[in-house]
Amino acid sequence: MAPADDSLYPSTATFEPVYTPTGGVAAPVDDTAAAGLDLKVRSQWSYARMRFFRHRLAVAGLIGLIIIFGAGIFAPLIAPYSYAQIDLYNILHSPTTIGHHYFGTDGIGSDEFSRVIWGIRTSLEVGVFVAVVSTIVGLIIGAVAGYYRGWIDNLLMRVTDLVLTLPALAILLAFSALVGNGSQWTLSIILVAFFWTGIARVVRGMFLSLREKEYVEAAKASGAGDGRLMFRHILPNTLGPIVVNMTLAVGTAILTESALSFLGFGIAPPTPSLGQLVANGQNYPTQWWLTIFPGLVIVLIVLCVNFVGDGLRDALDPQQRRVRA
Amino acid sequence: MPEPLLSIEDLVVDFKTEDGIVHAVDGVSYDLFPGEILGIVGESGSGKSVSTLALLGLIPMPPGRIVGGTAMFKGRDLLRLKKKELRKVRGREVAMIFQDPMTSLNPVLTVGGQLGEAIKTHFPDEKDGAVKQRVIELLRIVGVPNPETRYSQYPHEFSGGMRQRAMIAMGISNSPSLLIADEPTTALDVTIQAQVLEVLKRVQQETEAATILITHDLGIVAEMCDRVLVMYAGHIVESGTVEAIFRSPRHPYTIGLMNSLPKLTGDEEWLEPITGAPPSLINLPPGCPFHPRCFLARERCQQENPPLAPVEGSAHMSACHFSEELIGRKSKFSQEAVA
Repeated sequence: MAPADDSLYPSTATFEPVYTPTGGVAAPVDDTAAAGLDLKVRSQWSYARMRFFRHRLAVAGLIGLIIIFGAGIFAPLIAPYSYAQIDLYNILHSPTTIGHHYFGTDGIGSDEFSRVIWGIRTSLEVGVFVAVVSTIVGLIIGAVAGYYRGWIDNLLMRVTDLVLTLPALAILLAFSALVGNGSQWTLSIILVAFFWTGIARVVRGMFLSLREKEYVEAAKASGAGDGRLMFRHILPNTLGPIVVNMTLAVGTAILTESALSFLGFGIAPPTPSLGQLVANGQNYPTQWWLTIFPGLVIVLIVLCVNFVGDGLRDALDPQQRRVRA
Repeated sequence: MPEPLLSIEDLVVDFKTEDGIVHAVDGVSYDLFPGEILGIVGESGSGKSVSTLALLGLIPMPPGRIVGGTAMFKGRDLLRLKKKELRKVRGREVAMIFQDPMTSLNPVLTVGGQLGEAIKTHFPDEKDGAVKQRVIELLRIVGVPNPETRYSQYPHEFSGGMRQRAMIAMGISNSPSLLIADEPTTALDVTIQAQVLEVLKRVQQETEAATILITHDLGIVAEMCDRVLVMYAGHIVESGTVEAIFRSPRHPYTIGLMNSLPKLTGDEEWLEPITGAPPSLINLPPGCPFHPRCFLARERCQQENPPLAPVEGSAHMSACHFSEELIGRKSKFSQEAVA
């Protein structure tokens, strides 16, 4: 409420309307209910959902992700063994149903199936953490840069450019070697430091164009402040591309994590990660199952993530009213 | 004379461009009294929108710049308010209705949500339920059918006329004492225009908000307004009551505007346009800015810019050296307007 002693709001500081609609209400001109037409309220999101579920590859990708990530999430329930359990009587056993060693066992007799499932869990945690945190960071930086423009924009975008020009893998390796301690969270934060740039650029670009929209000016004219304009009025319009980017970032983060772990700079044993499992499998060239299964899972995850990302991109594109054939 | 609600004195707004400084508004002064509807007419680029946008600080700066002037509103100068104070005025004390309802509503928010947002901006402590009730009430006032259903619909589910009604509802949502409607019907079908104007007029009568109606349609002015300002090249060239201006226009530009309109009763082959094009606002012609297009123009007009001076009582003013010569000269609409 406006303060009552504020001279600008002497008489109308109450919330109640100062007029009473006794003069009548304008005659409704298109009474659709009366015309026998039933209006179904459909939000943008329900249209998007509809379009997404007609995209076959995306749905397949989504099902794939649900299965793979479901396995990771419920790892303690699904994995027949603990990832650290050693069984020296069954070293390097090929895949078999005996003792539930579906993916065989590795050089110290650990169950590869269990390690892959726990590896999915680790990779999933890293992927989602990196995607969410880097999106939030990139979103705020991009929004501020695009909304305020001027020197703030210049400063933030030059920093973004700087991060983008760094040779990512080399720096990541150096960083991991310096501060990495084999913990997945340290690795995640290092990845976030590189991943926010993409989102920041996308968001900045959208804010630059959206801030000129008339509805933003209308909101401004109705008294909305900068924060409200940025996050209530402009941000919802950028959610489509942001969601797509975030989805794809999960895949990229998992790939990068795998690459780093493969090179030995990522997550240290005994915590299993998919890349680290592949690297481990390299030591046993004849035991194909140690490389193929974790490698296959990485490929599947990234493929599914990309399918889902594509589906989301099509579904959330507001230009596309028509449902694809 | 009652106390004016808004008193604009010598407002000057410039835009910096590559080619030079555009004097979009060049020394505009007028008063607005409580409860009246003031029409501002003029061609595109005559400064009619800019002069009102400046009041709410909605001119993009840069390139825009308010060079001078005052705009006293309830004892405060709007042009000198701090950003934060101005924000409290926007949408609360002074509300604006924009030209194009198709683009003035946010496509990803529900109409009800946006109207609620306009209320919540100024009354953040208000309960959600009360805001929703108020929004539905507002939608009903502006004649949106089934307001309960419409509340949760998105702008793309609204027709143009319905969207403009929603914009009007947003404008009056906090019971402002000044409503600025910037060409509220320009983007609408002719048939819808009349309905929207009717809504606007009724809402204006009920809220008793003083209204500035910006338009280039003299028909709307005759229909809606109490007083009218005619703007040309950033200047007010004529002002007065609607009756006075339609009965006896005293500026050649006003006459030109009227004559360029079609008349329903006449048997006209051709419309009569104002010859020439509006001048560049970077390099205004010396003297009266209208003289290159004026049928009265003579040497004095090229040297001296005529001030806005009373021609008939103090209410009717014209900025023309030879406005006396226009006495008795009937515009095409004189008889109709009087009758």
